Amino acid sequence: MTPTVKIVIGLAATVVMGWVYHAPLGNGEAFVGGLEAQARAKVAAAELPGIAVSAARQPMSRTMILSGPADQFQREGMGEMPGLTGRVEAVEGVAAVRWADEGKGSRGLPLFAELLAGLVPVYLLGLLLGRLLFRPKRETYL
Amino acid sequence: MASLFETYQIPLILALLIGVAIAWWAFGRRASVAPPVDKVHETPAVAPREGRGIGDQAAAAAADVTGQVIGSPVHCELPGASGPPDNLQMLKGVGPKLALALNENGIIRFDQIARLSDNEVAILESKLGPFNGRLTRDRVVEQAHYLARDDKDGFEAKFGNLGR
Repeated sequence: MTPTVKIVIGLAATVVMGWVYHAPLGNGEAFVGGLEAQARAKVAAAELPGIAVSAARQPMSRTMILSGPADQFQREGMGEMPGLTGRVEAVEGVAAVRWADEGKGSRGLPLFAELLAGLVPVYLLGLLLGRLLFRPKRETYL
Repeated sequence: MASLFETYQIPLILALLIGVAIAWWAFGRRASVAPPVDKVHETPAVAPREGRGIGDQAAAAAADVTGQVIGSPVHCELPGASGPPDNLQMLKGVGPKLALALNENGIIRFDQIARLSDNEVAILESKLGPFNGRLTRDRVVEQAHYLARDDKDGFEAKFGNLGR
């Protein structure tokens, strides 16, 4: 088996491992659910009734979708007064906020894609480290 | 973003470890070496034909130059194989790449190496690229004399364990 095939096998194993951690083990849902709860708390603190917050799902992402009756001032704020959008954006981990009635809009980069964007470089870094650690020693018998 | 990293730090660490493990698998292990052949064909080592003494070397060199001037090969070709191939990697200093390079030059048996004269060794080494000088440095011809005679005890006494 060539080194290239082995590297591809390792890459596939990394992707599968990431997916298992993300979806079947529920860590992706737990993370997004946590963001959602924090965003709801921010909206509740604004004391505007009828505003709902949900995280984008299918695909799951760090984008929060707001819905409900709110005027432009309530949504965007003014001056130093943050609107609902700004309050939710301030939640650490939230990547984007959009309103459900403002067109289709983007659902943001899927969380799993973000995970892969982190896993693949780290896997390659591991390969590099391993290559440095385990590079064939200068052979006496060569 | 920090919370995202915290959530996924376990798979990130696992990915790093997978990368290291794959590097070990792909690069860290030596290529498997063929096991030593059970029986080395007994072939008496042939005494060198030229180039063993200063006079012989001078004569051989003169013949080389003359051959080049008249455009005629004055040396015989490298000794040909006379049987099934030996595991050249039994020779100390001969790894897979050098063995392959020797094979590519028609050297597949110990007795072929044992029959090489100094000049032939020099000619052969000049064809071995990065391994030029290795046969001389590692006394491969001398080793081959032992193995061609299947004198493994003598070989081990002089060059170390064969790894049998």
